[in-house]
Amino acid sequence: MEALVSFFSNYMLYILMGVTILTAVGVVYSKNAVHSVVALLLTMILVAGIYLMLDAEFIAAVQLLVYAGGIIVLFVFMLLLVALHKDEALRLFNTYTLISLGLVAFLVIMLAVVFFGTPFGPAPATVTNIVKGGSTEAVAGTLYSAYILPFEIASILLLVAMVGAIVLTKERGKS
Amino acid sequence: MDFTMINIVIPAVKILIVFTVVLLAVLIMTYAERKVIAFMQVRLGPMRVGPWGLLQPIADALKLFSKEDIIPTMADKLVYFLAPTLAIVPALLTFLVVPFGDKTTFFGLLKQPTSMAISDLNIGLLYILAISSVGIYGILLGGWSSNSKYPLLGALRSAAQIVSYEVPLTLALVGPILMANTLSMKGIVEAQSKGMWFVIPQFFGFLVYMACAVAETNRAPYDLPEAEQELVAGFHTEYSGMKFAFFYLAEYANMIVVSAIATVVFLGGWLPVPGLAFLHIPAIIWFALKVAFFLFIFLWLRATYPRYRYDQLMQIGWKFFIPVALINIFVTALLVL
Repeated sequence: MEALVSFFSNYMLYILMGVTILTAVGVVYSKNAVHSVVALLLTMILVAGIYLMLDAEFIAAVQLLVYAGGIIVLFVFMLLLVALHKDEALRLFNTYTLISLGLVAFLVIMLAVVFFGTPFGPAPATVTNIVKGGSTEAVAGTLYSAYILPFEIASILLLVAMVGAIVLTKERGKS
Repeated sequence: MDFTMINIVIPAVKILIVFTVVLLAVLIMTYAERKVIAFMQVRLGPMRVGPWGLLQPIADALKLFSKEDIIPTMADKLVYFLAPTLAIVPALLTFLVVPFGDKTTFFGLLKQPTSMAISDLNIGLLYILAISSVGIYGILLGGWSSNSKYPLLGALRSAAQIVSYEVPLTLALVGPILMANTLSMKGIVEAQSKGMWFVIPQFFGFLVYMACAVAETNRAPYDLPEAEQELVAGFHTEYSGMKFAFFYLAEYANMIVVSAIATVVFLGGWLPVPGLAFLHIPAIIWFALKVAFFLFIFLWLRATYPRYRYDQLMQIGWKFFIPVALINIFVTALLVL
């Protein structure tokens, strides 16, 4: 039993990562837009699982709350409004074969460089920390002291986007 | 206790107990709902099955099990099967961190006392919010995959409503978190054992939370996603048999979860009512009584108030609850500082 538990705590991270890649591929390859979104939802949940295995339980909860529970809901909402499922015959491939081959080759080389440059050891054996201390305070402390400027810039960026969206919809209403 | 006992047997037994208790509570809740509302409307409610209709929930469950499972033509089968699961799994997962009582040895069965919660995560409250925010996909995808107009409209309404009310619900819970200085469910209750229950200093937060909790669970007077007069049954119109039962179960499980959160965060969890501690009532009974009180409020509201209009719903959500919750946070933060 202990061997099983230690196996999972050592390799669960890599299993999760593998399944995440599979669902991410599902997002791209499913022809139905709703199936794509369901795959994207699974990807987001699995990414939260990866954070959890890395002992970042606060980030994992926020990932679930914001991405799985917020942003993808809006994706589905838009899909329901525009009835995309009728456009399944959409042409999914273009004719820029050479350019895309070059780009893909470049991407694969970049990924390979990063992949072979990273020292892979056994995944950190975790989950004990989540029941005890926790990283919530550490995240808050770092975010609001060392990285306060990027944090504020990001919030202003979001505010600009929000104001922009309101302005755009108001304009359309008048004309 | 050895490794297997602590890490596998005890959690598994706890999970089984909680799961059974929740399912039983749902059964009792369906009966209570009919009876309470019947009495409020000067009717008798179910009387035929068993004495005072006590076996009615079992009859209902048997009926749902044996019903034909209908799949509409042109329905997206994969998503249609996935939707009820997506509704019920998050609803049941949230019970992971609910503390039903203080540490206990289960009447001397265990050598060391164990926590009554399945697990006490340090992000407890955040975990519940995160998991329950995934529950909306059951409604959305169920409505879409049925390939029918009423479910689609119900799903759209539901999405807008739940996304809108999730914001004030979360904001209303920030006040008590600031006062307790922890996200752990157990920690929040322990913080209240030192002072007063958070319902007194956080009264506005409590009111906003209750209103938003009713909206989040799609109950009257916020039951627009399944408004019978306009939408037949909303997102689950096309569902039948066990798949419908899953949606039904998820709705009631969610009601129990939000009641349990209200109990833990605002009414002191398993703590006895101040002044009644001499009665030696077990902690779990206090917890159950408080949850039952909130569940009764759900039924009471349903029997009392008519349904909101859709624009009213959005209006009070965004223009009243969110500002009130934000002001509550500011005042609390100032006082805590």
